[in-house]
Amino acid sequence: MNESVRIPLGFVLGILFQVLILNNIQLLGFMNPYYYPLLIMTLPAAMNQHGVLVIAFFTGIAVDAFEHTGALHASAAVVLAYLRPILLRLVSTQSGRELPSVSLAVLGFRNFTLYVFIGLFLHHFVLFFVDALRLSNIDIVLLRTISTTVFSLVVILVIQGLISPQAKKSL
Amino acid sequence: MGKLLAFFKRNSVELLFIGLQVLCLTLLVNTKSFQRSKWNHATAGLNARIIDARSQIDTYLSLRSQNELLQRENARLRSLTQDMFVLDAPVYFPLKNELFEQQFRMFPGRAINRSFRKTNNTLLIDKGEKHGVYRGMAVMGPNGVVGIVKSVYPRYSAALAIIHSNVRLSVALQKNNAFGTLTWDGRDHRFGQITDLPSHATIDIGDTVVTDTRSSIFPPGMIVGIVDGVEYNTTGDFIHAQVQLATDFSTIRAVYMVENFRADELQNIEKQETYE
Repeated sequence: MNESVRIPLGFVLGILFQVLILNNIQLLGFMNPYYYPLLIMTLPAAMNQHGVLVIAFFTGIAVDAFEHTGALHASAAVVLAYLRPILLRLVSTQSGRELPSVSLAVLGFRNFTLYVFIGLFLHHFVLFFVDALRLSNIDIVLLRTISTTVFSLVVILVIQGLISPQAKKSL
Repeated sequence: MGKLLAFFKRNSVELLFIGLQVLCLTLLVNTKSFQRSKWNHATAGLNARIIDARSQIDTYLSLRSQNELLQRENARLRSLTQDMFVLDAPVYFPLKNELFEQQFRMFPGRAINRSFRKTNNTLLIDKGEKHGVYRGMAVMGPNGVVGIVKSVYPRYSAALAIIHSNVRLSVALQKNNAFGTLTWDGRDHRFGQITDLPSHATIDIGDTVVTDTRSSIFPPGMIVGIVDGVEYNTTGDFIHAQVQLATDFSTIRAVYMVENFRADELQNIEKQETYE
């Protein structure tokens, strides 16, 4: 499928999956898995950084609209988008921009998991930290960040394994 | 000027990042006005349509904990059956069942929708007129008192939770029958308040609060909650008590409808005799 069709379609489906299904899962009462950061993390590596930031903002706003959280997710998503080049450099041998695509198939299981884990951790930390500014409890923020990051990571890896045919080969 | 432009060009990503963050934080601070925006209004409609589907998934995911809750209640009730007791005293008179007349009967229902974050919280129950539900019927949960039926439909009924600003419940302390009225201040769904306990009543943290015999709706002695805090008002004649409610309104699903066989009679009396 053409990339200019595949990416917007992936975003629409991904956001719907997030707000209609995942947002109704509350493991242990507080762990809500987040899938939508992966959409931002897997944008083409060579993409214009301005574009990534703007896409991240609107993705976050879309999720916020369903959760009635103002621009909480938008804030966390923009931070994630801003730090994305650094994360890409971490898992590639060169600048990160040369990667044909940011996927499980290209990065391999180990690097992809590491990339997604760090990305999710940063995103979740900003999310819970900004949310808790009203409560100011850093220990709870960290606990929520770590537990939810692990939960989100598991959800994402399972879904990646299910939907991507190449992934099965690299696993 | 050229240098300034070059600066903007060099740091355009950072500037865009900062700009977007400022926008986000502004929206966050103004969440209230943001939520009233048209866009949010539109998505809320879409959201409402999936509540039904969500209720199904929701019920399924909580089956395990709900089962456990009911099983614990069953165990408690079974330990109260006659088989669990032995007669440990000489009998001087025969115990006759005919002496007792059943006044209350319970049948199960399910709260298919509930709210607990509002000031006026309600429950939607999957039992209605068809099943014998009437207005003013008591609703109990596995742990304690839940609410009172407000409106009855053929197959469904809506009940006011005791965490509703208009509900006033006659309660008493289990240990000494000192009575008061339980209301809700609209803050925390886990706590109710008794504001009219007479100042001479002895009350301690940890005391059990039960329904009072004055209540014509609930059977007397049903658990409402546990006293969590006591405040002696120096000027007034009343004690203010904070009660931790036995029912967790954020998870309540299985409920019991309590039918009072004397409800009609009691309601007629209350209509005719006006005692205030």
